[in-house]
Amino acid sequence: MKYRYRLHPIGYTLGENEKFYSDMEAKGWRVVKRGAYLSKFVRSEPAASRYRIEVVPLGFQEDGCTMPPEQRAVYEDCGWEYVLGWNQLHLFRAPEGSEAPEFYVDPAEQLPAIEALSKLNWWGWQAIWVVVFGRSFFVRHGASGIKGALYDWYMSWVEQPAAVGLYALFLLWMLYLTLRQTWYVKRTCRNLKNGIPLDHNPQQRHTVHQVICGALLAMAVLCCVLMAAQAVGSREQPLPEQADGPYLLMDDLGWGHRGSSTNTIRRFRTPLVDWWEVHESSGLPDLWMRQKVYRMGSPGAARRVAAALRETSRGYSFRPDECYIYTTGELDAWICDYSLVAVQGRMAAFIYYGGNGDPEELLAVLADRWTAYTEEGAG
Amino acid sequence: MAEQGPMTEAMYYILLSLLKPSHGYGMMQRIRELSGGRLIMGPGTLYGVLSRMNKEGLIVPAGEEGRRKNYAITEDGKAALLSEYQRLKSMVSDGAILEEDGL
Repeated sequence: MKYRYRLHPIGYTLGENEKFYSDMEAKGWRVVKRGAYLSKFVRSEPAASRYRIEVVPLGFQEDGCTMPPEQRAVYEDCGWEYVLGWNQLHLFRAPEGSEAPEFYVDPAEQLPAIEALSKLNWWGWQAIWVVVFGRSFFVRHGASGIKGALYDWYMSWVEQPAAVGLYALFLLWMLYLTLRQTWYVKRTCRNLKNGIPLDHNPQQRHTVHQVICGALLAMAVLCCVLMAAQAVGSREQPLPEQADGPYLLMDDLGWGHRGSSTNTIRRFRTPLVDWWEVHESSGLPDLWMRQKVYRMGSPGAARRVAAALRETSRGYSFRPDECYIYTTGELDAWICDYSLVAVQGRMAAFIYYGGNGDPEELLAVLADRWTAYTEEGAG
Repeated sequence: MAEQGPMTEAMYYILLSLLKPSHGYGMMQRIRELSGGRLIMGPGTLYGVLSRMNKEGLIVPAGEEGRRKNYAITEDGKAALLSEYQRLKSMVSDGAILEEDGL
């Protein structure tokens, strides 16, 4: 094998990175390229080498390397070989036992570079968090302000808890990295101020860090497995001739039989909810029906879903401020023209349709269907 | 030029070495000679101090040899160096009582 790729330590852990590359060269692999997470190695004679990283503030240089040529010349004249540059980090190599002097004799002299690294990384993290939260809360379909975004997230959690869980783990992972980096760099700066030089050969194993990473990774893998299971289990299927769940068919409403071949149903099962997504069309352009029906764990949860559906269905012509409330038996509904939200016991639904069907007649049929479904023991 | 406080050892020896214009590695070799091998300056320390003294006007770029940039001491730099030398001489002179007391 000519090349090998390995995960390298995070950039700000300078000593760990230096030891990593030294250890790899001792095993006969010399680094040739470094990316965001992986380093590329090429086969070489095993050798004992010192690797050192210099931190240089970002800037534009003619050769694309951010280290000024005259600075690099000084280091190379001292016996250090320039290996590669990646962002602010520049890697040098010298044979073990050579006379190439350490970059800094006085630890305090390295402090400005580490502080600049800390400051830039801190601002970098702020930019990332702004983008992530902005994307999460303000760029959401059907959302209206913070309240709408939060309801949107709630419905995402209800419908796809594994996907939302995976995203939450990602945010948790970012938060952990931010805090760890802040703590690590501050500790390094404190040590340098107190005359303690950077440890170029750290031996500590960072057990806590490894446990946290392992736990997050295990939970992420579990979420991915659940997502895959849900995707497989909820494949689109043809709509049956008779409803086999707590949803309606146009036949049930006397609207005529379906004529289109695109009538489909998807069934979802999650730890929180069973829900159905139904698309039905008669073949006529103005006669169709779309439904999302949820069977929750409790009537309280169904009410919360109904509240969320009222906020998140604005994209489907549902305007919460313009709807009227209708009650039949134990069913409560909010009706806005030809779209409505309904809740009864553990059941909740959002239905919108085309045609001249009466929404209150639709709700009466729905209430009966839900009552029968509940009495059968399925609800 | 703002009043200079006490210099670090690195600054003092770099200014001393730049009484003859030189580039970075040349300075490191000259500093080793001047200090009798006692002071071995790291390239990171050297470059950091050069950048600061250049901003403070104590040294100026003085031509290039390929990638290597030469520096020379300025009049302000000479004044600061002389002032530091006088300060150190005074300190040594004040410490003469150590020899009088047989320490």
